[in-house]
Amino acid sequence: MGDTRGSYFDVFDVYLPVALAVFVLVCGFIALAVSRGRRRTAEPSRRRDHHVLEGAYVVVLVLVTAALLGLTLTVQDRIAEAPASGPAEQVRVVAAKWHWRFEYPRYRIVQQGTDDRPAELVVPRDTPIDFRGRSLDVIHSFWVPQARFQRELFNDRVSGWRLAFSRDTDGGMAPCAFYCGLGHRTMRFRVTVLEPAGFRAWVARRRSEAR
Amino acid sequence: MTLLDFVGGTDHKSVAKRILATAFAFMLAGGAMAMVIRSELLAPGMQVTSVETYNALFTIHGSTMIYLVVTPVALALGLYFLPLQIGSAAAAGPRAALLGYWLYALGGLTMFSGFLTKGGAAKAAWPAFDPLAGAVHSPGSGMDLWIAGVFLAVAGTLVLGWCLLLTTLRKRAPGMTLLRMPVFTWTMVATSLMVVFAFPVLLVALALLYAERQGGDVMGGGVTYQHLFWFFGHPVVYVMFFPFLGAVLEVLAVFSGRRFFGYAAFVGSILLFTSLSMSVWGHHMFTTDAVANGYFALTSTALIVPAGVEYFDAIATMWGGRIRASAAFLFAVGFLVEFLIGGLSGIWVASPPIDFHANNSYVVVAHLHFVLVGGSLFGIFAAAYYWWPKVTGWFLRESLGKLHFLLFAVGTNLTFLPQFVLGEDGMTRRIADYPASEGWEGLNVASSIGAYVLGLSIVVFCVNIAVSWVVPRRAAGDAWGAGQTLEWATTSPPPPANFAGPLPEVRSYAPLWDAREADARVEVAA
Repeated sequence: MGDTRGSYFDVFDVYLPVALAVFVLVCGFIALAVSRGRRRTAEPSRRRDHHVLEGAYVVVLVLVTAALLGLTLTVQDRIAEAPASGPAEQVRVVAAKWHWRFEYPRYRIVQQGTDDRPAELVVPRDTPIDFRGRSLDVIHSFWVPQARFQRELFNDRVSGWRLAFSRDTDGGMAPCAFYCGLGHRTMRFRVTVLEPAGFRAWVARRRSEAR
Repeated sequence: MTLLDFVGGTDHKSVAKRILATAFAFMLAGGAMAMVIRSELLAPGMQVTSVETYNALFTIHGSTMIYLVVTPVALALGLYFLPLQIGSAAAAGPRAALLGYWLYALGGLTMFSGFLTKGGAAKAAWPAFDPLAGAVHSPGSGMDLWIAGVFLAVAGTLVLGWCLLLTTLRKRAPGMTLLRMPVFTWTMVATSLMVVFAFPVLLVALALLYAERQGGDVMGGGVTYQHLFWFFGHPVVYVMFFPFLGAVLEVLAVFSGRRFFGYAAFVGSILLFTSLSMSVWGHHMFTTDAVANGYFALTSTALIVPAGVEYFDAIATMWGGRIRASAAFLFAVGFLVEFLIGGLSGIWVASPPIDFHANNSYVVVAHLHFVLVGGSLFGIFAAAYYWWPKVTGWFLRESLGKLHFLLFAVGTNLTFLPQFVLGEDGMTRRIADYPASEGWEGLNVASSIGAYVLGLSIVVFCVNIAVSWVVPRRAAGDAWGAGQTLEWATTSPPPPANFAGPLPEVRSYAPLWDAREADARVEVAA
């Protein structure tokens, strides 16, 4: 649930070996065809098609396609249908040239990035978080590479997504993925993943600071 | 060529040569920009350019290569060789084709003139995303000149697309039925179909963008623009691939001494490819959450089928052949290998759970360059070495051609393979700089060295042209002694009306092969 990193590797772990195998197989056939053809002294073959072989090959291609798609669609549905069970935190994401802002409406906390300090997204570990994000100007993209997840933010529509952060994502720098002009290269935020108790303490500290 | 011929000559071969020469000049400019870009990325921090200049450079690099180099070259190859391959004395709409050239050339100059304006050239990336490309976020005339320039260039290539489609429909020689058209001609039919259906959509999007910049609220938001743009932006990738696929398949057949294998399956698959190409644009928008990701994953992944058939046919054509490993043949094999990386990484990013990470990262930069260097440039050079003697009447040097190939293959892999790793590790595309703390310097240095090797290979190509021109080795009509299609049945270069004598009888997609086979039968019988 919301474990996009796990979903990513569910597909990755199948797609990468398949891609490498296809690459090796095709290059092997090419190498074999070329080396045999370089050595050949007899007249070239005159065969110009082989309908049975071609037809069987198309069937194989269709089956490979179906298998890959089956995996992709299954994993995608799991991301999309992240169940609403469990207590979810809420974070509003506001992107504007060239800073991030994270608002925690339940706790009235605002994390605003500045030129000197990128915004810090503080989240409790393994807890589903409902994000509502928008941009105030051009398109930006919320990308947490460690979570293997990205979502574009627009100035005329609200994007919603749910993520849970594992310990692996702690301390990661998250760049704006969508090219947004002059400050694009420096527009980023930091992800801090805390234990649930630590998160509650952080909330209390931030609220007392605000008062 | 007199000045009048240069401005107003309507011979399809002459117009095509002007497009190719113009595109070559733009390619050198776009390549030089790539050298500056890769030099800036050698180390963290800004050393070579400013961020503003960097942003203009990658915008104009991408725009140049796509709108002003590969797309026009694709159509120019068709304009030169389609009438020859189908046994016609001329292209359909010769004056329209001439107009197409001038729209394209002046559009290119218009785009480049942005560098002369106060704010510099456009900096909104090659798709000019709205609202970034709007008046608020991209003030200044550089952006306006970009819109006008791309509009003109794309309008020019649209006109050329119509000329090619009508040429194949209206100008075929007696006996040249649709199912006897050569493989390259079929890829050009598919190409021109995509051009005439997809390119007008970009013209509309650019017009809306321009109106929006003048204060009109006409666009309807960033998602709408992405739909319009990618409805053009995906088919154009296949426009930049099919013609070179066609050229490569002919090169493989000729230098294997074989008739092309699996013609019927190929024609079917190229048409399936074409229709799928028009229905995959949303895979550029998986991360917007505004499209049906499952549908676009399905159409995009289904490209495995037609692409797999192309590879089968390519390998089966070489299988059992007697191969002459000319420079053209090496580039054709390089095309198969390098585009395979581009194609497989395309299936990779066609999976939304993968694309949620890979999108906008260097994984995409690597992917698209394996498509456009592997699937376009390797094919362009295969076509260049193959058809050069036909167009000019003299051969390019084979030894320099093989050196060119070696450097180009090494450079391609060294430049773009490290970028897959950088993207997977979280490096964003379109950044002038990256933090030293990420440890990305080593792979970026490797990538930049690869880019310099690519630059060197282009220098070798230019030297090859110069040497071969100064001390020419003349080519006969059938320059390689193994031509299969009708362009090899006339002199090199062809006369103004293409064919001086009667055409060979056309009974298949390889009429010259048929003629040789018939001769062989006569000899055996005698």
